[in-house]
Amino acid sequence: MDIVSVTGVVKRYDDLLALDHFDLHIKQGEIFGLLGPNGSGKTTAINCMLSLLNFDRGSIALFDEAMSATRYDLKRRIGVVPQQMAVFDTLTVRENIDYFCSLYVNDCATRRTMVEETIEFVDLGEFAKFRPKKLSGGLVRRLNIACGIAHRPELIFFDEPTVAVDPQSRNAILAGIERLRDEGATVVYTSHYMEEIEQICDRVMIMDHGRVLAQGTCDELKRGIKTGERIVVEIEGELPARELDRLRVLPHVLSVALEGRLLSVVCEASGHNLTDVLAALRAAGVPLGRITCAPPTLNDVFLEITGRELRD
Amino acid sequence: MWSTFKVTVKGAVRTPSIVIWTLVFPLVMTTIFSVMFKPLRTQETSRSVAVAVVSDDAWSGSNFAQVVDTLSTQDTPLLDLHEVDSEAEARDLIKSGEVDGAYLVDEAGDPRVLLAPADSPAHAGEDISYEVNRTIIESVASSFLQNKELLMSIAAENPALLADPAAVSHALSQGVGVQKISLTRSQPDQTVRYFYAFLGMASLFAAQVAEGMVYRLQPTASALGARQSIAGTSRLRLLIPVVAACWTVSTAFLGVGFGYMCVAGDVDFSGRIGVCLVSIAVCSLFSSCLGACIGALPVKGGADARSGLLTVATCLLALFAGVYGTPAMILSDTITQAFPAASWINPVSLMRDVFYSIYYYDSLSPFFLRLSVCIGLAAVFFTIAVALFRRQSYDHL
Repeated sequence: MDIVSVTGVVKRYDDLLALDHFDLHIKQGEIFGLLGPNGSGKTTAINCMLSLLNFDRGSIALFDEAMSATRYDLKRRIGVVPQQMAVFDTLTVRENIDYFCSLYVNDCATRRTMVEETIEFVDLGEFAKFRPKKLSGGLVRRLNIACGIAHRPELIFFDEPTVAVDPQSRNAILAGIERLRDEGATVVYTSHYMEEIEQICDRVMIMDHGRVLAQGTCDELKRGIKTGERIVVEIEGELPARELDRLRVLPHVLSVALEGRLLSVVCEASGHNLTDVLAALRAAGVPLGRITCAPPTLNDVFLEITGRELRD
Repeated sequence: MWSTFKVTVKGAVRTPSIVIWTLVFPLVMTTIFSVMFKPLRTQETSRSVAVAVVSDDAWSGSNFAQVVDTLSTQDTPLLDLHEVDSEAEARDLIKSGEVDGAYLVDEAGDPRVLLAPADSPAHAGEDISYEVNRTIIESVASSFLQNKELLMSIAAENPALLADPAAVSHALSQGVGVQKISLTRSQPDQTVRYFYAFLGMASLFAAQVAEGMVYRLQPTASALGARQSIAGTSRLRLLIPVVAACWTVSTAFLGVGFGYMCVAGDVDFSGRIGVCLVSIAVCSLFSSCLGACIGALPVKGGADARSGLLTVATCLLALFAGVYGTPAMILSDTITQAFPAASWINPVSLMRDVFYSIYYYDSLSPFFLRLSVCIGLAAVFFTIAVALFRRQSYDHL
């Protein structure tokens, strides 16, 4: 059963087409990544799924039932962690979590347990009596997450939860999301940080201009492009233009670029790319510095599909 | 709903601007009013009139001296006598402002009165009741002379009548009876109406509080509003406790302000404290519903636009309610004469009249009538707010 089923959704903001026949299907218990640059339609897609935004065409079903603004029974099974901080400055950490939990859970005793467990989950125990203004940015992010997950939702939307977060807090947040998945929750995770998506997502959708460009597991997406590996060589002398041309005609080489002293060679998947490139450079008598060889990234996938890089 | 109510109350009492405008401001204004109105209120306090008497041979044993002595030794003395030896000393006391006038008695036993000029700086600067004191001093002397003339006339025309004390008393009373009645249920205090007017105005602050709170619930206002909107709770279950919380906070804060008026401000609400508290509660409810309606309006411009709209509306309505002085009052009267319903549909006029009806009428009927209209309009505003607020989905966020 699909926990999320979005079919042919079209959403316009006046002349701007924000979602263009958008399709999305998410299975129970997976972390699904929505990857795309800013303005690609990720947040709009989530708001449509939550029935907060009207859409022009298509249909949305959650938990195999048609979603609408008044389906409070479905809403009670959903948690949302918005991109912006959505907590009360006038309430303490514990009061904030308790309040948002109370919008889903009426029983006080049950709620009290949930709140304490959530405080422990996000490791905010020693800050429980603090108001948000007394917390660092990373701690407020954790509070923002806690307010969205305290009621134990089955489906959780994380909308860029790590924006402007230090690496330590980011890792803690990502680890927490994996724990939620392990405990049975289904997660929809949007980000324009491909490293995060690669790190935690079981499946990924790449979107831009409101359209689905590709989807699958990270490996499937990478296998679907021509790029097999990227070889970067530090050149410690002059590299004549004719030698660059020789590199370009090597078997499996897709592109060659020299930026300053860094030579970047993109190759198709093959067993001898690195040895072939190094052999050609040695034959030209070029002194070499550091050499790295990396498999393709989601950025390469995006680059190859759209002709441009994922932008911040 | 209880959680939302609690959170809204906590949020309100922890928001400095709300506390300042709904609690601190009324306390400060009450203090300022009390200081401002102190001279007016002391004017109404009964106080003996300081008067000098030239205690010479003519004074001693004169009938007028007996009258004056009586007036200065009764339970609530009308006169406070300062005996001096000469007219010159009496004039010095008047000039210094120590006394308001002086009595002398001539050889014939008739009283003479010395008074400072009406614009005497020594008296005007001290007490604005000087005019009243001058009149009292003159009246005592002139009454004595009138009665003396009357008795002499009786002695000349019908001396036998003087043997009948009842007849003499009747003649002196001139058959005129004076009965003290009160047109109002308590002694009027012209300063109290300012406090009533202020209570009406302060009640309107609840509208600003409710407008801000309700606006923040909208998903178009902030991520916080969006988060609450997509929760598993209906919109109505969010709106009702928020408005109730705004009402509770404003009523509680105004109640504290009212208590301060009664205790520290020493304002006499003529035993109608309970009625005043009911008025505060109803006017706060009315304002909260008005604010909720403005907060739910689908206008662009965010919180500032709504707050500005409410401020402008309040100021304009206050102008038509005549609360900005005499010219505004004339405008208000003109509008009310041409369109009598204006004072019933203008929230500022209505709230002002709720409080004024406590002060101006002995009967509580006019008060309850206005109170009912307030509750009715509150229901109308709340219904509009609900209709606007029930919207669930948006084209833009």
